[in-house]
Amino acid sequence: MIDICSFLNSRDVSAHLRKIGYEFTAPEAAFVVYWSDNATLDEKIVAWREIVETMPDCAMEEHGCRKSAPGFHRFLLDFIDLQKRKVEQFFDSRGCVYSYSYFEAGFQDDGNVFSNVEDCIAYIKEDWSQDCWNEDDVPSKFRISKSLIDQPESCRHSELYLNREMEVVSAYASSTQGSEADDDLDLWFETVWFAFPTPFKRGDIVVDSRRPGSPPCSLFSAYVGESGLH
Amino acid sequence: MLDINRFINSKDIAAYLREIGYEFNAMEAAYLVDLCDDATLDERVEAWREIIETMPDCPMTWNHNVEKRESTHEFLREYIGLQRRMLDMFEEGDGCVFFLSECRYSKAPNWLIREDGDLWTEEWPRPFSTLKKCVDHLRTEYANDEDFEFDRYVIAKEKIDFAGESWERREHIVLDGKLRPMSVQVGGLDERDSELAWHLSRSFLRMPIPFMRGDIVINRTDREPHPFVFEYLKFWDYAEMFDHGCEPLLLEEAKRWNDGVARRDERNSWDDSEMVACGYELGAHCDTSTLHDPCDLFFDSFGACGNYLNLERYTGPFDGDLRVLEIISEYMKGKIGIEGLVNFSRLASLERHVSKLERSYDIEYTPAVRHLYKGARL
Repeated sequence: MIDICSFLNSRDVSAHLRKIGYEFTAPEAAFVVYWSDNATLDEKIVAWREIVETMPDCAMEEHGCRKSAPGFHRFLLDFIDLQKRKVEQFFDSRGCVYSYSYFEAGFQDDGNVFSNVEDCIAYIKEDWSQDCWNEDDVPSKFRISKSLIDQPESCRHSELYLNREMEVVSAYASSTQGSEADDDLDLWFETVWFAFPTPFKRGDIVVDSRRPGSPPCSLFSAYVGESGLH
Repeated sequence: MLDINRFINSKDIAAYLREIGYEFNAMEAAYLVDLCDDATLDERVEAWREIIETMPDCPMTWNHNVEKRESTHEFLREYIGLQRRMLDMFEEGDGCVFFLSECRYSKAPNWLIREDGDLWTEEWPRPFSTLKKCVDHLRTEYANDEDFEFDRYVIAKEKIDFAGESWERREHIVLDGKLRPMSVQVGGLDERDSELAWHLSRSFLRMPIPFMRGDIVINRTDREPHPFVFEYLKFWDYAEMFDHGCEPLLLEEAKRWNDGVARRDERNSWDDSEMVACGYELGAHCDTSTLHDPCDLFFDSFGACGNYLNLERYTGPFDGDLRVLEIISEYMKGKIGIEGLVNFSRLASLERHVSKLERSYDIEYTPAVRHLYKGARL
């Protein structure tokens, strides 16, 4: 059985939901997996498949520009398929160049330009292994950007986010280069929100675990942000 | 006849040199043309040609960073040739992409101007296979925009799959608002061409300036221009420092200072890094500051401005934290004492703090409670 709490970014929220025996619905579980900072895309896909196989299906309510749909399982399978297509399209190097940024208090551009993703990844590995004696000094995140040559009118750009081990964490495309339905599908987790129970009380001093180094603050009132559960 | 004053970035220095009837030699004229911030490359080349044709030849100044050259004319002929070659080299696009890396606003809505006054904006890289396609794109997309105007475009050229050093890889050209080349920089020059390309900018020049200790000055060619209170130039001897309002030194200290300057003169060890102007700048948390130093006031021994020949008098506005510069200026000129310096600076700082809080409260609170903090002066 899939342990959804292990995908939560906040260990406090994770422990609290375990303690109260919180039962996730399929959309809630998929949402938590989507926003996980530590899971690779492959791990997320495995988890989403397991959600489809082991958790009850439910209808999707109308949300924003998205119409209601009879089954969440169908949506999630389409979403998995889209993620795989985005990665596949990202690796298609015809008529484009790639560049990369490393995460160090925000993403910093390296400036090199590559003709394909594989060379870009090989360069990142070599460059950072030379620069860093200690593995912990290697940035925790890298972003590879793809730009189309001689197509300024196109506002499309796509990005691949990698972890320190050069595993794909997520893929982003400003337009999925497919149908409007694909765009709608791609944005669902970015726009939806859920009200999960949290252990925090008014007056607790809390910190956003997704933003290391961000100042702690005193909790004044409950607010569920884009990914809520930090 | 070539008007060198047109190429001097500082209108105050240009006026002063004209007033004292300063006669430029060919090297100085060539340097000022090179330093000019708003001349196109064609204008510079024309000016350098006129220097060769109309001004007597002279040796170039030299230091440990640049070769000794006996003829400025000969240097300029080679330098003009190199500019042309670098333009051609930059245009060669095999295995490269060109993209607009940044541009500078000359007209933009207020909401777009950042607090530190930085007018440069980085662009999302849209690569082109040739320089022409990139410039054509600028012409259609940027040059005809009604709401914004740009007076600088920096086009970068990147070699694809290049494994060399970053300084060899990246090249760029700066264009003016009419898309005319202003300067070009290419990588991979051989040692001789590289020395030629950098010779003028690494040279050291000693020229008279009108500024006195305590004057509030600014380098408007800086990426983020910021006013500061002028103190001295590093290469001045004691007599020059005294003439520019610096405090008298004990005889022994003055002799030690002069000996140091004379030793460096003999060894030709001055270089472009000593053309900085020293003075007092506002620290990082003050408005308009471009520094990362956390002090209220900061004296950087590496200089508050990279080249003293770009300095101009700053005449205002002195709102916000800039008021402190006025108080420091009055103190350095002997118009107020330490008591005035401390008290007026503190008052200015407190008033600034109150004004900042009021602005924040205006956003935070409704007008119904405004009477509780508005006008609550110290």
